Amino acid sequence: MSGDSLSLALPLSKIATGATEATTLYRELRKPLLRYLVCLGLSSDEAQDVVQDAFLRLHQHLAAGGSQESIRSWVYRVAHNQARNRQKSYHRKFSAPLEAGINAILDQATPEQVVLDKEKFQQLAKAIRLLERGERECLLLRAGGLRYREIGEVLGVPTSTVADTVDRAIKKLAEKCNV
Amino acid sequence: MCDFSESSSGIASRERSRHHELSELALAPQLIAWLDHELPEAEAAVVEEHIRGCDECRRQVDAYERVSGGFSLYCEALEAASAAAPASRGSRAHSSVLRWVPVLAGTAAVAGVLFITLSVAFFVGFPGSRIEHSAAPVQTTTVSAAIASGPASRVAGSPISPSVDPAVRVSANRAGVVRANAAGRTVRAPQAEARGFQNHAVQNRAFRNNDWQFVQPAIQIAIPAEAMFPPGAVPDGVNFTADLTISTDGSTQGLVLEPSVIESAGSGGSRR
Repeated sequence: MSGDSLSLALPLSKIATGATEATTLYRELRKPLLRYLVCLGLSSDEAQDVVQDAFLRLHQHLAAGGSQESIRSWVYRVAHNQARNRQKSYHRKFSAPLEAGINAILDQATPEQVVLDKEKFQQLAKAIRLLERGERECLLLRAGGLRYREIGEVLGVPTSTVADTVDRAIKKLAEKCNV
Repeated sequence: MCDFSESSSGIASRERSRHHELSELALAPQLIAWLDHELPEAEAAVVEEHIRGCDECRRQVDAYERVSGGFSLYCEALEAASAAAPASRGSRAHSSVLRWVPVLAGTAAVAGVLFITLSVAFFVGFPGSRIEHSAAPVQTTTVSAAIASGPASRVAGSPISPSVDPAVRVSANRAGVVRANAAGRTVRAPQAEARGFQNHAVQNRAFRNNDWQFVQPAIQIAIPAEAMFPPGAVPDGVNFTADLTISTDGSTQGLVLEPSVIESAGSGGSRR
């Protein structure tokens, strides 16, 4: 429904036969996927590894004649599951990186800080940490440009559940931040 | 009381307001979905029309947009922080290592003291151990053994009877071979008489600290001279030192007798 999905509506039928399309998909998805994985709690290096592995699996999947429908959510789901496995193996929590990164974010002199008042930003970060894991994941995938249907495919939940979760999470943040 | 003076326009306004509240309640859950372009076209059109005429819903939509924008900025900032993290992570690791240095040093010191204490305890002996050590590399324990030259009655109870003589040495090397040196055909030494038989053979069962082998150093044997030599074969005033080598299984590995001349029979001393 949205316009951003049009740019990703690649000629997927050709991906299995040629590497060019896969490369295009990689270029388009790499950055949002990296951001999603980092926000999930992986380090930058780990996120790079997971992205590489996810696209390697994509290549194998397409080469084996796998389904080309919802290929974007397919890549996200592979990366998401790998990230969870890594977090399980290292006994880390999803909320930990947000907590650890907040100081670094606030210390950075980014243009975003000009827009967002530091106090409000801190308030928002605190509110994000209070979200449930499913709510945070839904918002992260939504911020990555995924549709509700795609988010549901990644997380394995119905689209209506995604809509309710996003609605609840946004309203929670708005309430906590007094927006 | 009801106000019957209310005009029809007021009633209409109140009806519109109630309708607006109802539609607001119905549409409230759909505002974010509308914002995300997730609604079907027909529903999206209804919501859009409502928002256009409803300040409250418009305000809410603005708030949701700001929150969504803030969340995206937060993700971007988090990504930037993660990209810049390795260098600071390295410095943090270095500082954490420095923070542990005193703890590690203290632990090493305690471990060193414990090691020295245990080493001393092993070499000197545990409390209750009756083994005696010499400064020689091959530790020597002085125990008692003698070869009795007199009749069997001089050794209480039996012709082969334990007695105590400090001149007899039992030594053991690291391989666990017991070496016993029996000094002469003497009767019990005065020291042995004074303290009596202390049954060192039983009590001196001790650990060899170096190789954790049991050693039974106190083998005390009193053998009448008549049992070893023919009558008159050994002249008076001559003692023999028996150098007995016994392996750990108790078998005799070797026996060497060295004669020595006693200067004074009463003193109990001997001269080689």
